[in-house]
Amino acid sequence: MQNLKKYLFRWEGALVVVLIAQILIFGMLNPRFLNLDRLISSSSDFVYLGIIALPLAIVMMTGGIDISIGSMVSLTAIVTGVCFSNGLNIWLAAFIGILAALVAGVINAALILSTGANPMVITLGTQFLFAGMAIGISGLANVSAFEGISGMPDSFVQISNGDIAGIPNMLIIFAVIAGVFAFILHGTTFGRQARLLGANPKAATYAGFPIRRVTYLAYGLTALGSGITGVLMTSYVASARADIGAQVLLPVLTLVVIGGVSMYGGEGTIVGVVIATFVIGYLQQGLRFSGLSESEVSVATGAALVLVASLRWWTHHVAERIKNQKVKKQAATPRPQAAPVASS
Amino acid sequence: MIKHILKSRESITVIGALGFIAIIGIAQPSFVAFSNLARVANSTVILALLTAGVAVVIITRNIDVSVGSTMALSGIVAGLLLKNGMPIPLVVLLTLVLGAALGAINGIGVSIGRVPSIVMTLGTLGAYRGISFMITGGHSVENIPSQYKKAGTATLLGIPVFVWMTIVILVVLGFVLAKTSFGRKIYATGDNIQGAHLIGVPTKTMTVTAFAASGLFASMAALVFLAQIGSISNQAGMGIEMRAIAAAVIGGVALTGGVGTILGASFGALFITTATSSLSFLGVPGFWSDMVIGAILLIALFADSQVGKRMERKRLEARYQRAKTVPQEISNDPVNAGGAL
Repeated sequence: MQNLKKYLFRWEGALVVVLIAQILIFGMLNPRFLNLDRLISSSSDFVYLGIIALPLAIVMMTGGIDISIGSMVSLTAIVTGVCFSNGLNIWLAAFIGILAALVAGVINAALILSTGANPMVITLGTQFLFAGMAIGISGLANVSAFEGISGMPDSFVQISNGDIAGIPNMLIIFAVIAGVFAFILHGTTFGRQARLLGANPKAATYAGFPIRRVTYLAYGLTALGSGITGVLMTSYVASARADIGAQVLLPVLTLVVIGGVSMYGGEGTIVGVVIATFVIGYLQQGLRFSGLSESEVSVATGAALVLVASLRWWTHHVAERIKNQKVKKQAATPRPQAAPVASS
Repeated sequence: MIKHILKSRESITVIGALGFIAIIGIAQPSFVAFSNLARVANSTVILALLTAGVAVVIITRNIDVSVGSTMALSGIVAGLLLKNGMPIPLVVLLTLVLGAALGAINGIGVSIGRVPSIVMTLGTLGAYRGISFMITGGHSVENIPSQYKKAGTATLLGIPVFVWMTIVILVVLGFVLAKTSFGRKIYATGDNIQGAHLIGVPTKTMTVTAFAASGLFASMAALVFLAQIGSISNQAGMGIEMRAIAAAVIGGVALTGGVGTILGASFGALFITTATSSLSFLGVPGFWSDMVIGAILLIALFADSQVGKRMERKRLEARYQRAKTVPQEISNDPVNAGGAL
C-alpha cells in the first residue's frame, strides 16, 4: 500500500514536472506563449473537458466506464436550447437541460445494474440513444443542424466568456468543481467505496458494500458533470447544437488516462486529473503556437496518450522487477548479515 | 451446454433481423422488393466488413475503436494511388497491406506496449484521422478512375458483386475462426489469456493478428467505399466504429471475450442497416436512426441478460432437484453432498 502511494505520488509529481517543462519549452520556441495573462485566459478553451473528466475518473475507479458522456453533453445543450427558444427563462432552461443529463445518468446506472452487462456496451447503447434523442429533439423543433439555437441573453453567454478580477469564470467553476470532487473522492465514504469497488469488486460484494448506491452516484455525478459542461459549452459558443458533444469522448478519456486513473479500476486521484487537464490543454496550445496544424496536433495528442499509457505499465513493471531483484539479492547474501536483523 | 446457448444466441439475431425485414415488408411491400433488398444488402457491405474485423478483436477480449479512421486513411491512400494511374490490382494489394499494418500497430501497442486496447485505439482513432487530414490537406479525393468505380455497380444474378464477395470473405473468416486451430487460439486468447499462454498459445501473436485482421477488413471496407461512392473525404467513416461495435454486440459477440461468431456479427450489421434504412419506408424522419440503433442494442443486451438469468435459474433448479433426490445418508455426509452439488 505504501509503495502504491509512493508510486501515485510520483505520477502526479511527474505530471507537474512535465507541465512546467512544456510551458518553458513552448515559451522558448515562441515567447508569446509565456504571457501569464494569456495562459490564464486561454484555459477556457479546455477546462470544460476537465469538468467531465473528474467524475468520469470516479466511474473508472469503480471499474466502469461511460462512453455516453458526449451524448449527454449534446442532450443538455439541445434541451436547454429548445426550452429557451420556446420562451422559457434561460436559467430555467439550463436547469432543465442539466436535469435531462441527470436522468440519462440514472438510466445508465439502472441499465448497468439490471443487466449486469459490461458498462462499456451499455453506455455504447445509450450513447446512440441519447445522441439520437438530441438529434431527434432538434429535428422535431426544426433546429438548423448547422446553426443551432442562438440568441441567448448576454448574461448567459458571460458565464463561460466573462471573468472575475482577470480570472476567467470557466477556470473558477472548474476549480470549485475540482475541489468538490476531490472532497467527494478522498473525504467521503462514497469515495472510499467507489475506489475499493474498482480494486476488488468481489471483496466489495462480500463486504456488503452498497454497490447499487455507489453505481448510481458515480454515473449520476458523471451525468451531472456532462450536463454542466453542456451548459458551459453552449454558453461558450453562444449556440445550442445537437452535435456539440460529438467530439468530447476522446479528449476527456485522454485526460483521465494521463491523469493516472487505471482503466481497470481502483487507482487514481482527482489531483492527477486536474493536472492532466492543464498538461494536455497547454500541450495542444503550445503545439499550435509552434506552428503545427490542427491535424498534426491531434496526431501528437494521440501519440502522447498511447506513449504515456505504455510508459505507465512499463515503469511500474520495471520498478517491480528491480525491487524483486533487490529482495532476491538480500536473500542471497550470507547469513551473518541477515541474522542480526532477524534477532533485533 | 455453452454451445447450445451460443447457437440460440446467434439464431435470435438472425431471426430478429429477418423478422424485422418481414414486418417492414408487411407494412410497406415495396421494401421487400428484390431491387430494394439488393440495395439494402449493398449498403450493408461496408458495415458488415468493419463489424467482422471488430468482432475478431472483441473475441480476443480487446476493443478496436479506430476502424473508422483506418478506413478513411487507407481509402484516401488508395484513392490517391488510383488517381496517379497505378494498376488496380496493385492498389488493392497495397491498400490491404496498409490496413493490416495500421491494425498491427494497434496490436503491437496492446500486446507489447501494454496499453489498454480502448486507450490504444482511441489514440490511433485521432492519429490516423489526423494523418489523413495531413495527406489531403482537408480536401476530399475525387475523380476516382471510372474503371475502378465500375466495380461498384457491377452485379451478378441481380445482386451487386461486392455483396457476393463480402459473403464469401465472411464465410471464409467464419470458417477460419470456428474450425481451424488458429481460430480456436483466437478464442482461447480472449476466453482466458493466462490459461491460453500456459497451454502454449502465442497470445501476443494472436492479439497482433486479430488487430491486423481488423485493419485489413477496414481497408477492404475502404476499397468498397471508394467504388460505391466514387470519392472519399477525411470525414469518411466518422463514428462508424461505434456502429460496428454495436452490430457485433447485437450479434452476440461478448465484450468479455471468447464468445461470438462472424455469422452473428454479420447479421447484427444487417439488422442495423435494415433498421436505419427502413425508417424512410415507415415515414419516420431519418434523424431518429441513432436512437433506433441505441434501442436495438439495449434491447439485445437486456434480452441477453434475461435469457442468461433464466438459464442460470434453470441450472440451479436442476442442481437442487438432484440434491433433493440424493439418498438421506449420503446427503448428510458433507463430503459427498458437496460432491453432488
